[in-house]
Amino acid sequence: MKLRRKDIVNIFQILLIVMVVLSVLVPFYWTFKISISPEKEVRSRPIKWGVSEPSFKNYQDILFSSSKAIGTAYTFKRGLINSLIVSVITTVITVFFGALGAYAIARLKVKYGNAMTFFVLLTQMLPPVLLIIPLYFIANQFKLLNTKLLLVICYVALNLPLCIWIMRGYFLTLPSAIEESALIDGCDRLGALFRIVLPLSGPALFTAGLFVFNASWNEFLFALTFTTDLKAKTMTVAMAEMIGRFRTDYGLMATSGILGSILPLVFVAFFQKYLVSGITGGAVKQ
Amino acid sequence: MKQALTLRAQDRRLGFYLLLPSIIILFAIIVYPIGYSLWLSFHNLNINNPAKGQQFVGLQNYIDVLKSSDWWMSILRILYFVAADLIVGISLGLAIALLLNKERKGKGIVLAIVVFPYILAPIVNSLIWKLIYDPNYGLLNGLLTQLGIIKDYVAWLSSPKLAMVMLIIANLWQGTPFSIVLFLAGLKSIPKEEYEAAAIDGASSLVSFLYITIPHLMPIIYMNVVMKTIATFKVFDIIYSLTGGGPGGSTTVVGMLIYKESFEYMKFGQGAAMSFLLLIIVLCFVIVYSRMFKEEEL
Repeated sequence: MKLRRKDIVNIFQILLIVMVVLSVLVPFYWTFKISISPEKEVRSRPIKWGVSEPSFKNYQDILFSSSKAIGTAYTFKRGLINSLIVSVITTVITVFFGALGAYAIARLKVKYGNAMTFFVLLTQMLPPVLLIIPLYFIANQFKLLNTKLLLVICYVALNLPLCIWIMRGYFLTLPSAIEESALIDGCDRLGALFRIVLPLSGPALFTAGLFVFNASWNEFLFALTFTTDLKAKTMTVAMAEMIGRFRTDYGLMATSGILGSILPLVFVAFFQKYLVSGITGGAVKQ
Repeated sequence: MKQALTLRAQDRRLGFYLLLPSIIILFAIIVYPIGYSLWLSFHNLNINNPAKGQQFVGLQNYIDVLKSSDWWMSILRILYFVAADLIVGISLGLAIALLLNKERKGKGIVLAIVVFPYILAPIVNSLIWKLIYDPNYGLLNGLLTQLGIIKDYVAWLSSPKLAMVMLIIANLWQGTPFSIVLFLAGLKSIPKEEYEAAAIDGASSLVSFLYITIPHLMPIIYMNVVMKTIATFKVFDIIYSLTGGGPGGSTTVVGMLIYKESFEYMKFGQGAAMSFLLLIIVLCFVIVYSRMFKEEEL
């Protein structure tokens, strides 16, 4: 049987795809491997690709650490909890007000609605320190430094423009006849928004929420500057401390990386469609 | 008629109230601080000597920054970083998108895997690469030794020449999926008939790539260039956590310099001045790009 040129090209392409996939998976596998390896195997030369006795001790150390043993593991656990609280609250607030604002711009012909486009670009382009220095002084006056509330306020503001942008794009695709018939039936605008438009906007609300959550979960610079201790320090800050330490427990560090990636992993596994539509939609429509 | 008018006025008022919370928070957290920073950039705060209070210094902060070699070195470094990121990242993104464009079994899973690094926290990205670059137990040294490419372990992040390249690679690992997703969306929108017509005319696949694919993808390339430039000029997280700007300042890009100036040396006025200068530079790039690509279309 002779291989045709087309088949050779096809095999070659598949090999390339395998290489691309490996280049993503191998770094991640390496991190996971270290997280379940005994300390001895982490420090081996030459490197070992497998694990002789996998153990989830590092995971237990972090997840079941208590305040009595204050250390890296406990700091990270608290960071995870703080990040979760901050991200959930930020997401709910941003999506709620974002949807209201987007509806106003898309349907109610508010003046200066287009200023939001400008804000989307502005928040992306601004060097963050420009906001952080003044906010540090302001927060200091209001005794808000080192609180989760401050992070929530900042993250809401940073994510609102993009959220409004995504929602506005979606509302524009909804046929306005749906609302008009509700208005004729004696529903007022607000009723039409809450009873008709928002229930129809599930996918868009979800996409926007996914992006806001992920952005808050991943944020580093604001959290680094505004938080100092367990009360408000987020996951990313706790992780950076571990990375920066001269003598680091590699197993614990790798474990924190895996724990910090679980939620993004879930997003990609189950909600890939929304993510891709968000990335392209958020960018393409500009 | 009159009723319609009042309805519209009602709509506007409701719209204003619906938008009000967003306006308030954007004003408080974004607009007002920008104004505050502008004011700061013209003042000297005298953190070490509070009794002196704030002192108006005019353009002195800007002049000091523009005169300092640290500033210009940090700009050169970020230009290097951005250029490498754009050239390698966009070509790689396009190449991988072309590879993944064909319908195949398992395309969905492959795409999910490829997108994954993009949504990780940059700090997690750092952590992963820290474990790869580690001079004693890292994957890179181990792998290259096993393959017989290097004999002695290399301290990747401790060499001033290598550190920047290593950071660029780590950043590309995370940033390229964004380009891939955009290019895939762009490729999908190209009408198949054009390729068929070209094939009938006897065009090779290279010719149809150059004369059909690339022109159709121009808007996507433009968007890639703009978004990547904006994002990469701000790069901070991975540098802060992997090298801290070292060794010997060799990876102190502008974002890192501004952070150090502001929060390590407490020179808030200069930090603010640097931030505005950086904003102007990024704006210039965006304007130049939009001119360049407009002419292309004509």
